[in-house]
Amino acid sequence: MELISLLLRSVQYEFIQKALLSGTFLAISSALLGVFLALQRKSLISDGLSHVSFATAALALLIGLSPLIISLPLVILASILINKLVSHAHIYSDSAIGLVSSLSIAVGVLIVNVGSGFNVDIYSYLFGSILAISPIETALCIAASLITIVLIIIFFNDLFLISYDEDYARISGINVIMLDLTFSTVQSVVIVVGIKIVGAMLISSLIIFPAITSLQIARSFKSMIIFSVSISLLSVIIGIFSSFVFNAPTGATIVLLNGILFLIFFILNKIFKFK
Amino acid sequence: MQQKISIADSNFPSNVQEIIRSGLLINKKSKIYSSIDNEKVDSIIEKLGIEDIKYKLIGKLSGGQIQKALLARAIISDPDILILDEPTTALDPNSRDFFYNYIKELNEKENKTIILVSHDIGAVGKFAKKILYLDRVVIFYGTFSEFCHSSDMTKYFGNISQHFFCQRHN
Repeated sequence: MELISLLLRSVQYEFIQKALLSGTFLAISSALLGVFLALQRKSLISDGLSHVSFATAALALLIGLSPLIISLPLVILASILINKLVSHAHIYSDSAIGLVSSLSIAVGVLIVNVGSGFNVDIYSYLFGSILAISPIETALCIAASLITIVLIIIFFNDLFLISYDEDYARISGINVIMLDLTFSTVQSVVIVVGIKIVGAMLISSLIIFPAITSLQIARSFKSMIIFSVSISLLSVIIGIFSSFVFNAPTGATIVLLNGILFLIFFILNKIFKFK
Repeated sequence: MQQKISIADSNFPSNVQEIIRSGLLINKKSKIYSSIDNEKVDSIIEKLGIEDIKYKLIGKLSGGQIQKALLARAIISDPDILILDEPTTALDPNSRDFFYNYIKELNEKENKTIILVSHDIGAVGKFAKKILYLDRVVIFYGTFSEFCHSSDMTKYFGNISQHFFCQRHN
């Protein structure tokens, strides 16, 4: 009973409301992105891009500009760079991601070292602070998520075909290059707005986990989408409440819940053979 | 256009119905499937007699079942020409016969042009109207019976091989 009254009380706080609102939208958009990225073997790109956004956030804090203004173009640029490295420089995609990822962490650490005064701020970008986001950040998160969701709905069937059989998609007249570019731009935007919420270290798990968990049980593409979004929502909402109740860091709690859900469905699939 | 079997990812979370339906995206203006599209999928599934695998995961099918599903995806958009590259390599003899008979029907009843690339001259010969034999250059072009009676081909392949292709063992 005490727990219920605590939860009821918590939703009256404005910071919990903001967290729930932005968390819900981020959960849906990142889960949708994750399905297509995982199936196209590109989910690690989000990990690389989140490290880039850490470096750009450090840069923004150093020169005293809003991290969003600096991060958005640079992270989009990095996503294009990773794609180009893979397609033109003939570097394996995992190596390309490794290069960009570690290089940006190094740059980020050097910048933090130069501007030693903002260590506390950078901590919130590394590990997120969903309970302390501003109204503008909430609005941006909702807007970016909505754009992502709408774009994925519009190009849903094209993206499905690209994920299953890229050659067939190409001969079907789908502009694969254009869609790839749009998709990685959208992915960059979601990562940039997401790092303030769950942190640069953890945002990629919000994209990867729901897809891989639902892959354990999905028996059709439709169910894959429904499971991914549900699992993502469940972990984010329960994560926000339980981090409030147990006074734990929210981003890490959400990721831990995702890990537990994955383990449960992985074991259930091994026992009951859903697929 | 028919794809090779190797593209099938055994983990891909999609059932046969969804894969076949994606064949409709060719030249499709609206990006969303209508109920008419779903009916088209059902009718192709019925024609190919694969109702039993409609809701099965594509990655869990046998080679023959995948090939039928991918053939359905190729013909659902009602193309005038079907180009098939080694479509029967992974199939057992029963599935292979079904496959050849089915595309023969497509050719005769629905007037589809079928261009089929194969190494299996014996099997293809029974169904093909025209054979173009390539070995870097054009070796032969004509009907199967012309192929079997051509003395040039006897010279090229040797008597035994030609008899084997044409199954005139007696």
